[in-house]
Amino acid sequence: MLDISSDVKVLDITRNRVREQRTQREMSQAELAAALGVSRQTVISVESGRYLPSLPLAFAIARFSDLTVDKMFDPDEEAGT
Amino acid sequence: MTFIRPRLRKPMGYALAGAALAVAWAVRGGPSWFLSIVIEVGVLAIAITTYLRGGQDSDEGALAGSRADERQKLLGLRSWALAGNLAMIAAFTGLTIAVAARGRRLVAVPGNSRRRGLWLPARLVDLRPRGRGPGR
Repeated sequence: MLDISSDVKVLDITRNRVREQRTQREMSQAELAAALGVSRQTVISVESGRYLPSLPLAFAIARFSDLTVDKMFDPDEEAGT
Repeated sequence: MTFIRPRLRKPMGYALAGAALAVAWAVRGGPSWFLSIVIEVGVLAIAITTYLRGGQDSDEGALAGSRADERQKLLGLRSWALAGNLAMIAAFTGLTIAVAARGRRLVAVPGNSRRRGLWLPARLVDLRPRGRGPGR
């Protein structure tokens, strides 16, 4: 059986750059929520790492910041390249 | 359902269901017909409360106002699952207490269920005719 576990980097996706990117753009949580089509509570939960967004929402968040999903949700990786 | 405003969907559902129950109670007749009015008033109060909650900026408000996003829908599903589990535990506990308190004799539900082991306490499923009927 193929074992890829040693090659796969497990991300700490409870940490992300959502708050950092939002504050850089001087947006409020409510404004970001309206732009993403979700509630303010969901933005708060994503920022604090209490909720892991679905793939479509993760892509929407990343697109808003002009980052890729892995850069947005992997804070150890260099942002912006 | 785009013809009903999202915030009105749940309150209207409650109001319609309650009205149907109240009408059914009234049609049933008997000396307690007036309880249909109590049911209707109670359900209207619930519907109004749900409408008011639907305007709140919270997870509960979003669910009540039918404008929940993916996280809030997930929360709603989890709360229903928890309610279902609690209902199952309560039903099982109630059945166990009923068996212990009343039913020394057990009767099988006739048919296929007997083979499946669905047993009910004899006194909970009283198949004897009640009262004095017109006779045969």
